[in-house]
Amino acid sequence: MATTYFKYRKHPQPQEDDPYPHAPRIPILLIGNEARIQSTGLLDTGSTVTIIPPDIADILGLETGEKIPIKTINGTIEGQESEIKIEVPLQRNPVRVRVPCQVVDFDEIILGRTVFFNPFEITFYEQQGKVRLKDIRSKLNKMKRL
Amino acid sequence: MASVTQNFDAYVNLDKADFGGLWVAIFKGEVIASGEDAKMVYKEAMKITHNKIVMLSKVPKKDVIEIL
Repeated sequence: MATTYFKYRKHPQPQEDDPYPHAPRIPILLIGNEARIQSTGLLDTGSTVTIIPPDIADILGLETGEKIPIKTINGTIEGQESEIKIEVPLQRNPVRVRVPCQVVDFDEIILGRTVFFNPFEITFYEQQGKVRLKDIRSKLNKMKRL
Repeated sequence: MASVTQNFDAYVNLDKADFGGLWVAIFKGEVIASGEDAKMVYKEAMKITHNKIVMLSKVPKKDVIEIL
């Protein structure tokens, strides 16, 4: 099972010149109908859905559905249903997941729990400023067979 | 996909004072385009790299608390 650590902070603790260090972002490859883009995604355990900014969705050529309301910490906003393939570059084998997503007027990619979290065991190491992703697909398949 | 890691390392070490609040395109560990409009930055990056896969991401602003 492949395990990969991603450092997500320049400094593990707040510094005088950077009082609010980075959040847990990981490298990802986004695969659309018209393009492939490497980007960063914020692992958000508080988000049910994966969020893709409209500009990124346009570049990738994602097809979008009707507008639906999404409840957020800032109130209710509008999103459009879509689907995207996301590849996470783990050390031995990259893990590719087809994820339902919402195209929302936001300026970064949010990796929410639904479907995206399923193939991984994810551990956050806040003091060290890193996150570990372990591919548990084979473990899940063994459990299914029992 | 070695270049993803290379580009990601460059991204996490970017100076927020220079790129905070901007979209950046990174190729082979170097910022090759930046700006406020993601599509324009991507277009410029495609022109420079002749349509190679690049990293396109927004750099958080300095001194902004992220509550997500």
